Amino acid sequence: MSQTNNEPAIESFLPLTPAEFEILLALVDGDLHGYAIMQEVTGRTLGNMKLLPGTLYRALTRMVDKSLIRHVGQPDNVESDDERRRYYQLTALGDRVLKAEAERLSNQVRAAKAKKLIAKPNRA
Amino acid sequence: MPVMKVRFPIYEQIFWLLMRIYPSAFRKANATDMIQFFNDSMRREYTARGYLGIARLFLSMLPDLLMNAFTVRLDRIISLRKLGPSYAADYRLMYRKIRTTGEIMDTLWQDIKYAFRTMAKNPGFTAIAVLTLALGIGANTAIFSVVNSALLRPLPFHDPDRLMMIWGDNPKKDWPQLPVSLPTFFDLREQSKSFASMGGWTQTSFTMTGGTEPEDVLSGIVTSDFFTTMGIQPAMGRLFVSSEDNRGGGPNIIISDSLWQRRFGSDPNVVGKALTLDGRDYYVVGVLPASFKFITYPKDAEIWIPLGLDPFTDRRYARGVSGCGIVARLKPGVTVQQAQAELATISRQLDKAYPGDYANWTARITPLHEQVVKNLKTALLVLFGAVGFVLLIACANVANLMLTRARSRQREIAIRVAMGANRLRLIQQMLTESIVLAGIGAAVGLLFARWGISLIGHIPYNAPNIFTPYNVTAKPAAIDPKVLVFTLAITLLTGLLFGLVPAIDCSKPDLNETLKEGSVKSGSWRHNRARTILVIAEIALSMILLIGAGLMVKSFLRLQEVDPGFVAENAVTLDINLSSLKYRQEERTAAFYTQLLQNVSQLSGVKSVGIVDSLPLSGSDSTTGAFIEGLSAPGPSEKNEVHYRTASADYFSAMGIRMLRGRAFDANEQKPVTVINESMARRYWPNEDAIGKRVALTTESLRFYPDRAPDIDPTLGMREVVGIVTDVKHTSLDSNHVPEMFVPFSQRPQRDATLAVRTSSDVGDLGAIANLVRREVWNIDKDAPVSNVNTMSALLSKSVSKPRFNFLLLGLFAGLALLLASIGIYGVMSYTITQRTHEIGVRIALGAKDSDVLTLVMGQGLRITVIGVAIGLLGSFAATRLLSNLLFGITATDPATFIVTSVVLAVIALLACYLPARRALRVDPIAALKYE
Repeated sequence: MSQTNNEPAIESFLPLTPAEFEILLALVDGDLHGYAIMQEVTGRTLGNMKLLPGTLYRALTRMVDKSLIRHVGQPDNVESDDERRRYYQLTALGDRVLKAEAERLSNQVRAAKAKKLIAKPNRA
Repeated sequence: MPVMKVRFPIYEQIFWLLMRIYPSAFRKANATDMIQFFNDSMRREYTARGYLGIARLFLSMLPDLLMNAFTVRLDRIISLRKLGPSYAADYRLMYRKIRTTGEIMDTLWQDIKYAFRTMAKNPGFTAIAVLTLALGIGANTAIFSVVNSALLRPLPFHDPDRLMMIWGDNPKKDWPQLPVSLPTFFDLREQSKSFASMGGWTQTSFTMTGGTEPEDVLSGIVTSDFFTTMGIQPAMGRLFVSSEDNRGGGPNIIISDSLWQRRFGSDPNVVGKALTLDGRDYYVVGVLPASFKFITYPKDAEIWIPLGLDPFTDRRYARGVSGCGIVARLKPGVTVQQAQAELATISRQLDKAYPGDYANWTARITPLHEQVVKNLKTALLVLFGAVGFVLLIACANVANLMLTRARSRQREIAIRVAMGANRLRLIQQMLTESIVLAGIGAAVGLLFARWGISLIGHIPYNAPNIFTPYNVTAKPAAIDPKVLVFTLAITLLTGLLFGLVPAIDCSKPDLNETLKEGSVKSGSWRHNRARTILVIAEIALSMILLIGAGLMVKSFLRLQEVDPGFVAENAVTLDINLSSLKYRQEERTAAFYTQLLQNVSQLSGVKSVGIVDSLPLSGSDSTTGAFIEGLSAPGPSEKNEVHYRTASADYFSAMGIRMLRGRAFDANEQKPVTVINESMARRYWPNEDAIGKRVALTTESLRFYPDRAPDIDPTLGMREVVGIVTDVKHTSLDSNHVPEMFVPFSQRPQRDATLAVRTSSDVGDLGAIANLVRREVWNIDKDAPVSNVNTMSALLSKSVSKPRFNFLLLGLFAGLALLLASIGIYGVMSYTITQRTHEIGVRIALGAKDSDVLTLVMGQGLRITVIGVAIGLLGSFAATRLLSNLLFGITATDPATFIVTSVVLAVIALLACYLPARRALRVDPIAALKYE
C-alpha cells in the first residue's frame, strides 16, 4: 500500500454502512446531537430508516475513532435547554469520505438506470 | 411548541441498568447521551400513545441494544489483545473461518453432547432444574395460549380493526353502555361522515314449530347494511337489500349455519324453503357462514329478519325506547378520536332538536375488539404478569443451582483456562448447557400447559350479556403455532437468563486461589453475593404475588358474604317463551300463567311458585323513567330512572325476598299498585312513609299515535305503593343497589317470563322437578317452549365464576412462587453452612452454645428475608394498583393483607433457614477441624 500522507486512503473507508452514510449526511447542514441526528434521518427518509440508540451510538463511537466526525460542545445559537448534550461535527475527512461514497452510490444508481431498472422521475 | 419536560425516573433506572450490558469504556463515553436519547424518545411516545408507546419503545430498543452491546464487546475483546490492527484483522478472518456452517454445527453438537453427559452425571440436579423450569415455562405457555386466543386472535370479520360499536353514554345511568332508539340510529347514520357504513341490530324471539317439539329461537332484527358493515358474505343465497328495511316486503329471513344443519339437514337447496315462526310462514333467502356469530345472549341468534318485518311497529317513532345496537365501519384514514368528536357534535345537536331526550347523553364509540375483551383484559394481563414472576423465580432458582454446581466444577474450569481455553468458547459451552436444560424443561412444561389449558378452558371468561352479545371464547384456547413460537422464545430467554450469570461468573476463575490445593471451600464473596441477590429477588417477587393473591382471596370472601337479597337454596327456575302469534291478547297470556301457577303450586314438594320477567343474576334487566307524584316535574324525566319487573303475587315468597312493610300483590290484583325496594323508598321518600305514595312508569304512560312519536301522560300509568321489599342484587353481587319497582304480573303479563319454584327440601333431583313443571306447561299448551332450567344456587355460583377464577389461578401461582422461593432460600442456607462448617466447628470447640450458633446462622437468613420482604412490599404497593379493578370491598393497599402476607412469608422463609441451621448444631468440632 502506498500512501503519501499519514491519512489513510479514502477508499479504505468505503463502502460505508447505511447508518454511517445517513449520519454523515445528517451532519452536512450543521452540528447535531444524537437524538437530532435520528430525527433528521427519520424525517428525511420518511420513516424508512429508523436509527435505534444501540446502532446509532455504536456507529457514532466507531466514526469518532475513525476521525470521520468529532465531538463538539453545544453550539451558541441553540436555545439552551436544561440538558447538557454532546454534539457531533463532520470532519474534513468525513466530508471527503461522504462525497466519495455519494459518488460511488450514484455510479451504481447510474448503472441501474442504464439497465432500465429505475423509472425516470416525474418532473412537475 | 412547548415541550413538557416529563421525566420517567423508573424507566430511566431500567435503562441505566440495561446500559450495564455495555463495556464500561463505551458506557462512560455514551451512557449519558443515550439516556437522554431514550428520554426524548419516551416523551414523544408517551405523548403519542401513552404507556403503550413506552412498552413499544422498550420492545423495539431491546434487541437493538443487545445486538450492539454484543458487537461492541466482541470488538473490545479483539482489540484488547493489543496485538495491533493486523492481528484484529486476522482474528476477524479466523472468526469468519470458524463460522462455516459445518464447523459451527460440529461445535454445537459437541457442546450439546457434553451438556447431556453433564446432566446425566447429576440426575438430582437435572431433575430439580427441569421440574422448576417446566413449572415456570408451562404456566407461561398456558396463560399465553389463553391471552393468544382471547386478546391476540383477530375477530373473524373482514378488517376487524375498523369495526366499531356505538352506544349511548349517560353518566347518570347505571349501565355504561346503553342501546339507542331506532330514530337515533337513523339520525347518526344520516349525519355522520366518519363511517363507511353503519348497521343497526336488535333482537326478538320466535316460537318455531313444525319440528319434533316447539322451539324458542332467538332472532336478530337488522338493517340491510348490518351484514355488509360486518363484511359478511352469505354461504348460500343472498343478504338483505335496502328495500327490505321498509314495511311491505315479503316474509324473508336469513338463517344461521347451525339452524340450516339442524332443521334442514344441510339441504343445498334450502333457499326458498319455508319455516313456521309464531304460526306464520317465512321464506329462507340466505344462509350465513358457520364462522359468523354475533348475538349470543341469551343464546345464539339463529334467524335474522329485516327491519321491515320488525314486530314492534312503533319502534321507528319511539325516540325514548332504546333497544338498538349499532355496528359501524370507520372510513379508511379516519381515526376513532375524529369519529368520536363528530358523534359528540351530533349528540349535542340532537339534544337541541329534542330537548329532554338527550340530556347528558353522548353517542360513544367502542372498537369492537375492545368491546369484546374489555372485562377480560385486566385479569389476563395480571395473570400473565404473575406467571412471568413465577418464571423469573424459577430462573433465579436454577441459576442458584448452577452456581452451586459451578463451584464444584471450578477446578476443572480453572485448569482449562490455565491451559489456554478461550473464554468465549467456555461461555458458549455453558450457555448451550443451560439452553438444553431449558429445552427439556420446556418439553415437560408443554405437557403441564396442555393440562393447564384444559383446566382453564372450562371457565366462562366473558359471559355475553345483552350489551356485549359476543363470546370471545367461542374458539377455546389451544397450543397453536403462535403459542409454540412464544414457548420457544421464552425457553431461549430463560436459558440465557439463568445461564449467563453462572457462565460469566465461572469463566473467569481466580486461578491462583482455585488451583491452590484444598481451597475449594473458601467461598469467595462474589459468589455468595450473586446467590444472595438472587434469593432476595425471589422473596421480593413471591411477596408481590402473595399479596396479589391475598387481595384476591379477601375480595372473593367479601363477595361471598354479600347478601343477594334472596334465598338461593332450594329454588329452581325455568324460562318459558310463549309464541307472540298465539298469545297476541294479553288475556290469553295471563290465563296461561294463572293456570300454570295454580297447577305447579299443587305439585308435591313445591312450597311456593312465582313468576317474573327478569330474574336476578340472569343478565336480563329493564329500566324506564319514572314520574314521582309530588316530586317530579310533569313530563318525561330521565333522571328518575328505575329498574322495573313484572312479578306475580307469590314471586317474593318463592324467591325468599323479604317484605319489609306493607303487603305483596293479591293473586288477582285489580287496583293499580306497585311494590318497591328499600333503595327506591330511601331515595324518593327519605323521611316519610313510602306506602300510599304514587308513581308512574314512563313505559306505562306512553300514548301511541300511528304516524308520530308517542306522548307521555303520567295519569295513564299512576300506581300506588303498597309494599316495600329488601334490596336484591340484580346484575351481580358487586353491583350497587338501585331503585327497583315491581308491578303485578296479572296486569302486565309477559309472554317471555321465568318461573321460580321454591321446593320444600333440598332439590335432590333438579331434573325430576324440572320435568314435572315442564309437563304442567305442556298440559296447558303443548307448543310452549321451556328452556334454561337452573337453580338459584347455580346462578349465584356462576355469577362469581370470574373472581373465583382470578383468585384460584393467582393463588396457585403465588403458592408456586412461595414454594420455589423457599427451596431457593433453603439451598442458599445449606450451601453457606457447608462452607462455614470449619468456622462453626471452631466456635463450638471454643464453647459457643447452641443458641449462639443458631443466632449466627439465622442472622444471615433473617437479613436476606427482611430485605426481600421490604423490597417486595414496595413492589406490591406499585403492582397491586393494577388489581384495583378486579377487587371488591377492599382497596389495593389493604393494610391487613399486606401485614398478614409479610408475616406469613417471613415465617416460611425463616423456616427454610432454620432446617439447614439445625444441621450446623450437629457439627462435630473434631471432624470440622480435621477437615482443614
